[in-house]
Amino acid sequence: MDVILNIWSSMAFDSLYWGNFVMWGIAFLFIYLAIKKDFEPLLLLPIAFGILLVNLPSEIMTPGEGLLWKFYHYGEEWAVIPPLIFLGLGAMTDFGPVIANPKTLLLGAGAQGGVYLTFFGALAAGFTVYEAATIGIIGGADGPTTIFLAAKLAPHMMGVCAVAAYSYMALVPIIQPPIIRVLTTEKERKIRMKSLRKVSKLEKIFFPIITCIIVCLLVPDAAALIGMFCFGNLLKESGVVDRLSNTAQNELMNIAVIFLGISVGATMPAEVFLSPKVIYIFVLGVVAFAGATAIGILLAKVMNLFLKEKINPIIGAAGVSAVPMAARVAHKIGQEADKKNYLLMHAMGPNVAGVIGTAVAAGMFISVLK
Amino acid sequence: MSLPLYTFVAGITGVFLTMILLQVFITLSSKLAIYIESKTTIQEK
Repeated sequence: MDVILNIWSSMAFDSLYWGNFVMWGIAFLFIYLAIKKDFEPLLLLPIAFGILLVNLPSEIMTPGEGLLWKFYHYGEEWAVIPPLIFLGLGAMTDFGPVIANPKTLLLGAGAQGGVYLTFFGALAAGFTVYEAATIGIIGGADGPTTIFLAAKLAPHMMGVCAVAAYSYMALVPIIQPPIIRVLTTEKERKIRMKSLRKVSKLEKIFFPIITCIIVCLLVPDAAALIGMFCFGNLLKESGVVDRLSNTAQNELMNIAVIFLGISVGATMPAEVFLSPKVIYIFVLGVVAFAGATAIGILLAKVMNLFLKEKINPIIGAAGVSAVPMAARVAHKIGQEADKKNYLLMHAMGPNVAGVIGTAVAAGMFISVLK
Repeated sequence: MSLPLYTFVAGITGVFLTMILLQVFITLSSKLAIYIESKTTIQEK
């Protein structure tokens, strides 16, 4: 009998409580959504497994000892992994549409209005100014930037905010269309934009260098993200380091995503995740995202008051970062109004500008609040 | 000015200022790139 009791006491069953089972359920749901529904699987699957691991009684997140704690500490708390992901994103991004039509940079800035709208919403809901900034940045729909900002301002909210950001990125085709339809008329949705000019290789080489210098001088706290983003893009556009560019886009990016996903999931033990505040964060997150979409569209309409060549206001919705999903949604809605309206490349401009805009907004939060 | 209001004003100003300056310098750098490329093409001919 003693032997059996000893074996039992060495097991972990006694350490479980109802919260762990709820979190297992959430992990299983995420695994289902990732595998069956193809719902951001690259991130959701590692996040889900991280949630499962941290809600099994073990020392995996024990500070200084646990394996996932080490991933989390050196990867996210030290803010190493989000910039590495930005390096890969930069190496995958074609800035041609922004260079051909630099006005779209303003749409990328306008969409950040949703971030600040939600910042005040979160303050009103009783969150601290640091937490409010972290919740607000969800509106940028940029996972790595959300994690980067959370690590600096509110590390305890990193997991929840990251899951919210990635969830809303995956829900772009559901959240954005009704907002676009409400805020634009049929006539506006039919606006055809002139084809973008061809952008030369030298212009594309100048872009990351100029962007890096300007952003790092104006917002030094965004340097880690924007610096890596621009470096990745220069690797791609230079055309002389294909090996490095390919590594940044593929192997390095994949490695970073594995460590990021599983360690972000591991920041969600039941005692942290199962609180009423989490519901607020998800609600405020969707407000942030919807607000960013709406303000992007409205800014495009305001710009049309001053522009000779009108822009289709739908592309303002692509000012959130979710690349290229938001641009695809804008294109699809445009084609519903006019089958021969090709907005994809036009929408890619504000879409990639949104990545820069969200990183700059995060940098501004850090510079004011750190 | 309260910290939240200061954060808001600084943030919005910073984002728009950065994007406007980027727009200006990208337009200028494009012109420079096109000029350099056209000059190189002429020299090659």
